Amino acid sequence: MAFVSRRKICFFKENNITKIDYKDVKLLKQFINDQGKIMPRRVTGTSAKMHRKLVKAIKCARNIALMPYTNVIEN
Amino acid sequence: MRYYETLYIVNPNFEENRLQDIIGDITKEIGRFNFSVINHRVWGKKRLAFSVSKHKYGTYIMLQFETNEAKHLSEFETYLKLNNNILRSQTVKLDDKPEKYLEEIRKDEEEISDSPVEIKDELPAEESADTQDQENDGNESDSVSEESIESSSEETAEDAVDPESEDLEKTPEVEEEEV
Repeated sequence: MAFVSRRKICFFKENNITKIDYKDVKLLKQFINDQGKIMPRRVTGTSAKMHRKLVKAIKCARNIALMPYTNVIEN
Repeated sequence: MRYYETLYIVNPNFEENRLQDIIGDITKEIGRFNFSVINHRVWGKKRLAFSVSKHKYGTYIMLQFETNEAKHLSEFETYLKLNNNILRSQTVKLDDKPEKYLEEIRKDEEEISDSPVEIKDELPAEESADTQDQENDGNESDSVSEESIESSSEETAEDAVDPESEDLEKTPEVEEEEV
């Protein structure tokens, strides 16, 4: 079997979102992992332009305690 | 004109009267700096992502204002920082003029915001679905090959059973093509 690369499309381009609001926690939560880290672009497939905006929005939300800086997972 | 949005967290134990007092105080303070208020309202009591000053919950208050004099902004921020009622605050510059907050508009917005949220929720599911599809594709190809093997074996079996009757042999082939 040949290696088939999965085509990823930017989520924001798909849904025609040009501005990311830092108060939209439901949206931003999709782009962090269990630990609260921001997921890399190669995983989420977001475009470079929107990823920059996304990172800013997540950091803004963290500053005002809407999103976690870290999430310690208890085993 | 430049538009700003300040979101600040107030002690969650404060009641409605005290919240209104705090909002009134800050509105007064804003008047001192010649900022004109667009919206100033309670955003809601929310669970904080991490404890702030040993509080697990906080009442968020949103303030949107416009001004030409950005130099007073830092003074306003220090005022918020020195105010003991405020646990944390953040001021952000807005690109466009914010809409005036009305109860009816808010309801509409919630309805609108609900619908894309559903789409958003589907995203990880879609991704997982894609992976599953890929897995399924692999499985399907396997199953298809198995089926083809089975069908071929059936055909051979049929051939073995009814080698003489050609009509019977043709009919299952036609059915397979249709499928």
